[in-house]
Amino acid sequence: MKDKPRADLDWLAFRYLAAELPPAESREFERRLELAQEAREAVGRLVELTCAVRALDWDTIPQVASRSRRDAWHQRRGVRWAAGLALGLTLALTLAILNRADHARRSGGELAGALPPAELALVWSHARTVLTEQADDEPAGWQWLAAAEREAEAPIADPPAGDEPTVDTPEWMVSAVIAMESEGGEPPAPADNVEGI
Amino acid sequence: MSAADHGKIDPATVADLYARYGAELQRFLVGLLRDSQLAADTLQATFVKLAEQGHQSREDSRKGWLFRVAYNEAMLLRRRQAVDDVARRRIAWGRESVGALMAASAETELVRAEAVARVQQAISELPADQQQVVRMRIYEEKTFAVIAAELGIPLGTALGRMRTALGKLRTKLDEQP
Repeated sequence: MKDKPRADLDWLAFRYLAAELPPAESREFERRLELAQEAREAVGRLVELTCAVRALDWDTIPQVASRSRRDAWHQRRGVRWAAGLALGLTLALTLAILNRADHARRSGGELAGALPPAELALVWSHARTVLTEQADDEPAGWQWLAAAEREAEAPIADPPAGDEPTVDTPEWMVSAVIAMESEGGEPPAPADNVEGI
Repeated sequence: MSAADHGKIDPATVADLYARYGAELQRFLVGLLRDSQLAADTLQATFVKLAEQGHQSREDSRKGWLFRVAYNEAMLLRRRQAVDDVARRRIAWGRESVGALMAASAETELVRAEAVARVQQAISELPADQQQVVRMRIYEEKTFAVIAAELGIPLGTALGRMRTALGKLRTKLDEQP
């Protein structure tokens, strides 16, 4: 509680030093200086503080928050994660298609068996789990990201009763799983993070 | 007549008081006079008065006594100089004057090195909007009205940011190393 009057006094002293007080208030403050030791000390403190601020090399002071606000959209962390995930999935999909085509070539044009889609499912599951864990590690300072995530996740987190869950499973994976099930193939043993699908 | 005849304060005590309060008094006087040379002269006059009349003051209130004498000496000087107050402030708040203060600071400890380090640390921890106002007001010498206009914020917001930042910086400055 003691800090409040002191903060008020410091603010008054600063405005006095910066010539931001109207003349009447300035004269009043000078009368106070005549009588009150704490006011005199406040002036001394503010002179030191002001000189210290001016003595700084401002170019070496990090401006983290300001820089983040000025960042272009493509430099933001969330966008980078999304781009990384998309790139990883595209790569996995490309590899799977190539593998499948190669397998089809070797097996005389027949479609590939159940294994490639299952592998894809695991890749997808792993990527999603890693992304989720890393998102949980985000520092609290990224409120703009958290807010965007809340908006994006709202319909997923609370689907309407009776509807199909609207999990953002890609279409290619659904097709792959359907194909796998229709062929009767056993999926490989689930990894310990598959429930994240 | 010797100093002892008048019951004058002894020189060792004067030296001790100068060591303890000299820098703080100098900063206070710079705040009042906005001129490091005038402040130095007034500081000297204050300690001369201490040597001559300090024995009349109570030992436990010497600091307050010194500041009061310094204040009176400064006001006397200002009246004598009869310089336009606003003009003086403008001059003193300018870069050249602060440069002179900084040059004098090595002797007077107007700004302690550790104070600069602490303030730098504190400023780097300020939110960007507060940091920006501090920079614009103190370093770039813009008025709050100009700052508010340039940032597109109400004047009260600019003042509020500065005030909050000052509180944080002052707290940091007060911290013991």
